[in-house]
Amino acid sequence: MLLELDRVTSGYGRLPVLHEVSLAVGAGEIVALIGANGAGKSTLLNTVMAMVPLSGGDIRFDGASIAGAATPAIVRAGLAQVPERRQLFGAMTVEENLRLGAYARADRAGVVATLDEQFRQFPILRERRRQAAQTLSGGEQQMLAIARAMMSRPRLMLLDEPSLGLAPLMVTRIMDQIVALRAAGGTVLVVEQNARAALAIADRGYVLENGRITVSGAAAELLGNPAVQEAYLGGQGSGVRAIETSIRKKRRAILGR
Amino acid sequence: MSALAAHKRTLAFAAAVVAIAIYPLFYPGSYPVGVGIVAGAMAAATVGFVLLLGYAHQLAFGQAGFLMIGGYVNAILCVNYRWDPFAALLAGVVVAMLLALVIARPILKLRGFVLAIASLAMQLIFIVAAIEAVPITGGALGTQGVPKFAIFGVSFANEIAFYYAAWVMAFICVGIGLNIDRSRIGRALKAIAASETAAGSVGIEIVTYKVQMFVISAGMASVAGSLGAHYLRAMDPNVYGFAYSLNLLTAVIIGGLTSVWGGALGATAITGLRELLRSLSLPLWESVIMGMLTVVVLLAFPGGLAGAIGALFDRLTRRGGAAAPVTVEPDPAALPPVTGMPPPGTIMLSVDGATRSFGNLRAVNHVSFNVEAGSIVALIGPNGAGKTTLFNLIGGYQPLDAGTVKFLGQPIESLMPDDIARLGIGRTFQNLQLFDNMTVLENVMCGRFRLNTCGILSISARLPRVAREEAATRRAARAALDFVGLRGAGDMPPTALSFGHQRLVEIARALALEPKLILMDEPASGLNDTETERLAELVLRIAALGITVLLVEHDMRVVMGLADQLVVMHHGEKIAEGAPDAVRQEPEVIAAYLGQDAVEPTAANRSAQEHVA
Amino acid sequence: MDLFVFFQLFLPGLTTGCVYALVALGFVLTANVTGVINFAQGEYVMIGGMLTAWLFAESVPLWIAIPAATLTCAALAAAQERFTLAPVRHTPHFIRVTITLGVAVILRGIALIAFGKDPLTLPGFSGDGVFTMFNAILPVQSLWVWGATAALLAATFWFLKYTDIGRGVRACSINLQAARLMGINTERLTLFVFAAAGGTGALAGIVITPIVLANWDAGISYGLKGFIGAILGGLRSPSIAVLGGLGIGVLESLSAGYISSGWKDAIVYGALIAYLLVRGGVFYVGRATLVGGSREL
Repeated sequence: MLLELDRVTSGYGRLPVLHEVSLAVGAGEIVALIGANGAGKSTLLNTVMAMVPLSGGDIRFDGASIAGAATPAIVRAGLAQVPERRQLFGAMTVEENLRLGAYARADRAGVVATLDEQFRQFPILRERRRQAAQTLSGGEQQMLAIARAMMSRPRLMLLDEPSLGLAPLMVTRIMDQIVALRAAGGTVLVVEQNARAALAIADRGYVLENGRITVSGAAAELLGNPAVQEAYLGGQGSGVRAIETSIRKKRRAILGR
Repeated sequence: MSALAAHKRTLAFAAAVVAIAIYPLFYPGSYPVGVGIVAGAMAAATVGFVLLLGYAHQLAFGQAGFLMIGGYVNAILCVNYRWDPFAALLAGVVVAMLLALVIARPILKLRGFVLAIASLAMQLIFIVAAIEAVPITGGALGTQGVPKFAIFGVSFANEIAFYYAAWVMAFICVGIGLNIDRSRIGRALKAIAASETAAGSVGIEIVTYKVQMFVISAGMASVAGSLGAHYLRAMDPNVYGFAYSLNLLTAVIIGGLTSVWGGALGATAITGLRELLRSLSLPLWESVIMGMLTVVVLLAFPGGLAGAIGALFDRLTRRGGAAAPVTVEPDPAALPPVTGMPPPGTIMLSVDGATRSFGNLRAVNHVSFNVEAGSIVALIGPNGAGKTTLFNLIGGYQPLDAGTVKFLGQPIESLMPDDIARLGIGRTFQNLQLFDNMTVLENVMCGRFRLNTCGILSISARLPRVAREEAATRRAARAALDFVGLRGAGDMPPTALSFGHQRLVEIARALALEPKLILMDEPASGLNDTETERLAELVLRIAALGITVLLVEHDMRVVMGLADQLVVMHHGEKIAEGAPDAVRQEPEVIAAYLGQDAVEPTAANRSAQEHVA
Repeated sequence: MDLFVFFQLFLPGLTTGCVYALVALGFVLTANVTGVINFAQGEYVMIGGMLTAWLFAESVPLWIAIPAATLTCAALAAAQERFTLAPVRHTPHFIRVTITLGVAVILRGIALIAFGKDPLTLPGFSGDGVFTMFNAILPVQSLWVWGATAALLAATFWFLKYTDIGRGVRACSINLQAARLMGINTERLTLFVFAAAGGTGALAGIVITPIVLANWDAGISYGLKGFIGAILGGLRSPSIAVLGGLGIGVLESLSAGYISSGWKDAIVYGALIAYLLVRGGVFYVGRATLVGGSREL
């Protein structure tokens, strides 16, 4: 396995978010991590990148533990994240954003080659290379964010909500790019609230609910699994739903309705 | 406050009074007594500064400017108009406070280092004015020939008598400071320092209390300036320059930023230190040592001397045994049902056409819905749907671009958070906005703010009604803690509690303001299943009191179980509304949460996409 | 208006304005990367000038004294960041600001002890002659001040625009979190920015010393006026901050000449306060540190 999370616990300050989460991504896979908002999906990616401190468990990349390593070291090890809401350097140009993506690399000639590669992959970015990143449309910004992450030539790409705020057609296009990443030999862990779009391109998927993995399996199976819909919208079918039933009982007792 | 803490405070206070009283007996010479006078004057100036800087975190570094105002008013009135020195001192206080009142509102709109710079600039302007206004101030040479201190004809020509007079005034300032410290205003200042967001949510008028402290601080500084002028028998522009500002700052930092009497302690320590350096012929080292002390204390001992002494006392007087266990069984009978509630079915809150954009993004687009009195309504939607923005619009934390929000028919969309809280709308926060610099009980007491009436004057003098009101506030806060099941946690700092219990403190604080409507932002986030169920029960108990509940929540088990009514948002718009079981079935809601079915890209639609991009 | 008088005030104002401009630039860069305004910034200007003048008086040649003083200030600024700011990155903002003020006091004190109360001076780098420009008579050293400022500004802006590290500095000041995700070692970069700001301040203090003398207590004034320049640029834009600094120098000189030399400081500070009150106190400084304003969350 390229990336392994072993009973990872973490959170922000006093707010615990992840509880003993275990997850694995194999080389060449697209793995989707889906779940409702607030489930802890972004926290999981941020924990891998050491942007959120790990408070328990271990994270291994290519067999070696990266728990306790600082973000720059993790980037150099071959991980790159496309953060939620893209987090571009808005006042800087498209090309500057891309070059920043290669900050951790030492091979200047190689950087130029990668830059060219990204411009071939996303021709629109070449057209806009001297434009400030904040003047790009939402879809173009997402492409720039992906290309920027690619500039470090990562072995594993972490994508956080790439579909957020995009029109359906644009979502499809971004998902195509993710498939292309894998075709070029990459490995992707994609976090999505848009479960259908993510599972359509993924090999495997995990469902995160309230900081815990509740369901996992092949992507095609998850798409049809009623538990997935419940993770988002609730329901009274399964045992996990006991809390809702119990709250309703209390409501009748206390409020009489 | 526990009996032990009260005891400790009295003991320390008595020790300080005795030390100051007997000092002239040991050092009766005019020089050492003079040093004592300088220390006393500075002690008076530190009290207001501690409240402003240490309590409210306002970086008003230029407060020494008000010593200069006091000193000049006093000197000019005594020398040119033959006023009685004490009357002139009072006049100086009045002038300084009036000037501060004029300056305060605009300057305290600034915050952080911007305030620090503006405040220093203000002081430097005072100095330039003193140098340039030669006919009034005597210019760079200053006003000479200030008489010895006297109170309505009774002269304090004797240095020792003046020493005692100076320290009595310093202690009056400390007394006022202590009265403010243990009142609702002291809590308000700490609340402002800890979280202005939360301070607004309990109805604390942030600007008002900052202004009050600025004015009081100016008055106390003016007293110190007057005393200094009578001691030096002159007043010139160099006495209270930048260097004095820094000494004042060092004094309160060394003494302890979070203790009213720490400033007085620091003033004494600083004055003593300066004399020591002078006697060692090292006066040039003063600045280096003062700076070092400031930096080292801030880096390593943020509590200063007062904190260190307090910790020592705690160690000496510690009794065995941990803190009392926290009761977790809530007491639903602790709070009475809310009276004067509008009948069920009345529209409590009505949001009409609410719109808010950030740049090109319409975060909330024309959203309308009503909340009926006595109901539980939940606002839900996928990530980025605009729920939190809408919540902030209702709470007054962000202005609306268009639309109205009415609370019981009254438009509230242009009100600030504290105004909205004072109407009877309580609020809790997703990421916990507790006041960590206070105990749990004090946190909840802050919630009573809108129901308290004692003002700054009666609090400064600690009139009997202040004590009565404090007792009532304390009782009500305890009842709110009992209601949420935190009896016994009152004296703990919030940080000593688990995350789930801290959330209960926030709910108790919101309940303490006896709200008609309570806004809860993701109350179940970060809770485990047991805590989540308890929380849901608590929300039901709150509703049973007659309080209307509007919550944003992503835990669907909670939402579906609790709510009478759901409002579903997506991409900033309302896409559905209704009872939970109905909403859950709506295809549009399912699509919003789970996403559209991904379209298999075909050659045709791929070329279409090219055009879009 | 008499044009001769105007230029005789305007051009020297531009010269002191150069110092404020370099201080303002240092403020903007350090503030955006750390979220803290460094009250000690002006002290590096003072120490740069004092140390060079002192070394020169001890017959150290200028070409050694100048780099030595510059590097000393860079090292002092780096030490300030490393030992007094980095350890308290998560303490309340007002404490960190106060710490920088404490450091300023220490630096002033050290200068007082090391160099004494009397002002020190340096000869002009190419003699103490004068030249005329627009009929105004100016010391030749003014050309050094203008030249050095122009060179430093050009170097800084080139560095920020065209080097990897420079782009990293800009990235850090726009979005520190995202910068870390790029693999930028933000701690090291912060240290570097502080050292650069200290060194730039020192150079400014050195070139101005032949004109205005070096005084142990001049740092606060350089700091405040440079800060005003930075504030005029909204604490965001380095280039507007530079213009702001130049403008403050000119305003100061013009008000000294046309109104009163005694009131010139009051006028400059009054202008700052008036500007802040009109503009409002909301500044977004690196890490989205919010200062001022009353309605934001």
